[in-house]
Amino acid sequence: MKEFIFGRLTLDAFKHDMIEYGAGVSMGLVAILVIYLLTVKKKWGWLWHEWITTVDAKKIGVMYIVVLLIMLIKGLIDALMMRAQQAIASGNQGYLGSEHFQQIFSAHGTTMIFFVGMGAVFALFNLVVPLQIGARDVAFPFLNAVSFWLFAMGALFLNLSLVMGNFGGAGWLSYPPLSGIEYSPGVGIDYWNWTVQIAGVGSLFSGINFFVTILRMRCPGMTLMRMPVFVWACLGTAVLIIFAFPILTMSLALLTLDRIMGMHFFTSDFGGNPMLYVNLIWAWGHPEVYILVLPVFGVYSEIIPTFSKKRLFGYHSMVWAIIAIAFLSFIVWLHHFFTMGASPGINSFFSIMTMAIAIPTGVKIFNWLFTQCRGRLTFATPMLWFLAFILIFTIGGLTGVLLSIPPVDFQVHNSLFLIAHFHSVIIGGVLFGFFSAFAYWFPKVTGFMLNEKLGKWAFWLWFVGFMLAFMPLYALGLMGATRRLDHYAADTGWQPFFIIAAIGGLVIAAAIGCQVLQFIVSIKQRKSNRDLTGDPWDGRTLEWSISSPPPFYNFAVTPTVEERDAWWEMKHKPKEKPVYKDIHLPKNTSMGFWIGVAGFFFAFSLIWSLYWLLPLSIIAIVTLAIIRLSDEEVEYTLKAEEIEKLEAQHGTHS
Amino acid sequence: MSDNIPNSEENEEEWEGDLKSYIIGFVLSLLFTGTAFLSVIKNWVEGSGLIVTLALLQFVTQLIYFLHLGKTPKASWSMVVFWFMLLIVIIVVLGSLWIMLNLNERGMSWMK
Amino acid sequence: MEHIVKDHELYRKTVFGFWVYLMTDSILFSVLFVCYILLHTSNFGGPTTHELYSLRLVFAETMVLLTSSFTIGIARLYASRQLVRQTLIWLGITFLLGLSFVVMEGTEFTQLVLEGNSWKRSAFLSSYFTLVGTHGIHVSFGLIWIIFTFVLLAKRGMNEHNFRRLTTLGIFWHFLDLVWIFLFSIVYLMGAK
Repeated sequence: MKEFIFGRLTLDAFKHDMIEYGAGVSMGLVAILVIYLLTVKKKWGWLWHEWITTVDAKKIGVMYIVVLLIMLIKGLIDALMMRAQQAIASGNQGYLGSEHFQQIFSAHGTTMIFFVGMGAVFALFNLVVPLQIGARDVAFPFLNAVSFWLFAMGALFLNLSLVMGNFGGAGWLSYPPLSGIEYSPGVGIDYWNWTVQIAGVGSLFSGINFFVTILRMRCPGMTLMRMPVFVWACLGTAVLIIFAFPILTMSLALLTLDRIMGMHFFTSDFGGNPMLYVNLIWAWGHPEVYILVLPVFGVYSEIIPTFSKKRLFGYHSMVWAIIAIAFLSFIVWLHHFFTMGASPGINSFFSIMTMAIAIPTGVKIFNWLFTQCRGRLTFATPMLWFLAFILIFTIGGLTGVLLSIPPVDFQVHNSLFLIAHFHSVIIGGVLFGFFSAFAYWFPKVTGFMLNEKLGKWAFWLWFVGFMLAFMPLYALGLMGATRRLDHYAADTGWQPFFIIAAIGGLVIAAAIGCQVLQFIVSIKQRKSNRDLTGDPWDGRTLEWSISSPPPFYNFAVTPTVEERDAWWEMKHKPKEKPVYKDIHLPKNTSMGFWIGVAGFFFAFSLIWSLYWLLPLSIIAIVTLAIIRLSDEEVEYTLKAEEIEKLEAQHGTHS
Repeated sequence: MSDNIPNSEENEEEWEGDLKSYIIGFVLSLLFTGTAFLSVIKNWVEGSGLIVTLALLQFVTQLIYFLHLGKTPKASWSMVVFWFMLLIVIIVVLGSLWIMLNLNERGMSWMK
Repeated sequence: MEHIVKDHELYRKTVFGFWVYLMTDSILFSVLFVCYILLHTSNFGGPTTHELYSLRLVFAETMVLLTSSFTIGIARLYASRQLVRQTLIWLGITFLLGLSFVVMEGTEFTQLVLEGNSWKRSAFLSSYFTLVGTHGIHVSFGLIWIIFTFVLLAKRGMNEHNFRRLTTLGIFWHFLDLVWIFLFSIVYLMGAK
């Protein structure tokens, strides 16, 4: 009876070592602090009405940023712990046990890719795309909310595993047979599985949503070839998400079936094949890294023209490069497992395809540089991040081309050389691109500017910190250091390199500290840093044509566009008097949140084998979906007179 | 795909058909299905070529006559997305088969 | 259709969005097909495809599902002429046919499990149950969807929302028959040869 009610959940799930207790307690204290502040300031109603029940893409975008920043800090703490361990453990075990170390690197990767990286992608989608295409919201606002809550539930699982049970220790992709039920009988892999699966379903829905949004909700006159390149990048990203994520969903589902229902897809016996998992997960995994980086390429295509006061060089080739990258990213996946034993013919094919994908990326970089050529450059923080990106991402890209050569890869596969490569492209590319975008669009979202000085400090600390933390890793990899090592022999001579890397980690921590400080200071100084024009950078695209922050309906009058860089053209022409019409907007609803919660219990029941909770949660999800889908009153009308009043209040500008 | 005016109503509606198309689709599908089953039961040919061909024929038939794909005069995004899906399916399926069968051949064998 | 659908943009973007979702579902099924093709000979001493498949039952299932794809098309034709009663009748027929399909498949699965040939027996059986079962689960969700549409149609008549729902349901149901074509061909017919 007890087993039926509690499944696999026993008091042992709460037993941890001191470090994990420390982490759990800290998380608990932060949660209590937040609850206390909300109660004391009587903000629960505000939280519910303005945020939890919202279907407004702008607010959903902000929520993605909140989650991603929390997860970034968590992922960085994981990184610092690993750096400290590896700096110490030369000829000794260090301070972390092997099992704990394995959970840390697995959580680190999972956090950074699924919650920081994907979080940044969806934050940018939500905050910028509707505004840049002159739309009021996305195609499916309710689905948008569901996507966010699934993402948040995934993040919740990852954090829950720290307190109750443990996380998987088989890396961020959990290869079988190690991740199968025989070798990982505990809940760790199941936590990992549902964290990724639930967030993945949310991602898939967002991919569909933004694909339809970009194709169907552009304002009149905005043909595809007049869209900002950022929107093209998001379109390419959405296509990748739509066609790649189902592969992940299925691979995870099959692993789950192996673990829970005793199936044999990936087991070593009964006819199964673990290599099949590796093949499938990377068929998703490679497009995934392009999903992470394409939006950031789009970001730079917006920022560089603005800060060079010059239109983007080579619009057409930029668009073709995006399409080429999107297509090519589906035919390179084997380069993640050159060493798994396929023939030279197969390895060569994928090697050549991998080298080919560097070409459109190179085209983009040259176009950015040509844009800057003879431009009137200003070096606000967004541009600084671009400069660091050019250096670090290019190093990462070049090492990628090295890795694409199978004989080279045979030497450095799964060594620290690989780790340095992908951190160069992900941090130099995705993260720095996100920071650039954050600095650029922050005034639009909040209505005030970020403190530039602290921004510059943060930038330099990140840049120096990154170099210190990752350049030694290239050397270590070439010297034979494997990834995921928690200790090593003293006679390898690796320790000095690990120590430099650890110092780099600390410098990065200082950079983050600077960013937190920047945030706090900027909020304190917000009154003197107000963006009153809505266009603080003298921008070129439609989001700068409305106030900062934008009104909840985005555009009082849907713009009509006649050329590329629509706002740049519009602002230099006389402004017409607006004619207001009634508009329809979606109502707030708590259903997205409740579906997320039901999804949480569904996964929770499967992790802990609570077989009574499973059917209940499925019924809940289906019922909630039916209730929502049969609701025909999901919109409300905002009258023209009301819009006119609101516009007069925040004062539009020309 | 009316780019200039995304909300234009000039397009004929997609997904609309008539009774004739459903009947043709149904009869053709019955034909293809029946032939395929008979060919296996009576062992008409060696190999799976006929089965696969009949399956593809029925697939196209139902796409046209039940789903009315490609019926609108202008090209539509639905068609574009459909072709891209086919492309990716072919890449993933053939690519995976190529890789895995090769691994099987090179000694990491699990298939008979 | 013009008389029923007032908000053309909502109709078009919803139907298009649903079609895009079906494209993702196609990728999902293609992964299952890959696994089946690679694992179907791995019977680990257990039964092979030749020993397991009953073409008689599969033919019945195929006929039933194909017919239901036809009948839901008829239902939609009546719907576009706002003939609610006939729409409900043909939806009902579709439901009964779909239910028979699920029941037949269910008995097939139950039989296998009772004989000791469950999904745990071998990689072949794992991939078989999962591929065929995933399709069956989709059909079952379709049945729930038919009930939902039926009830709303009976209560609220042929408004634009019900018309849109029926359109996406029809596309979904046709899609499931398309997947079945590959299923019966690759799994059952090729397996029985």
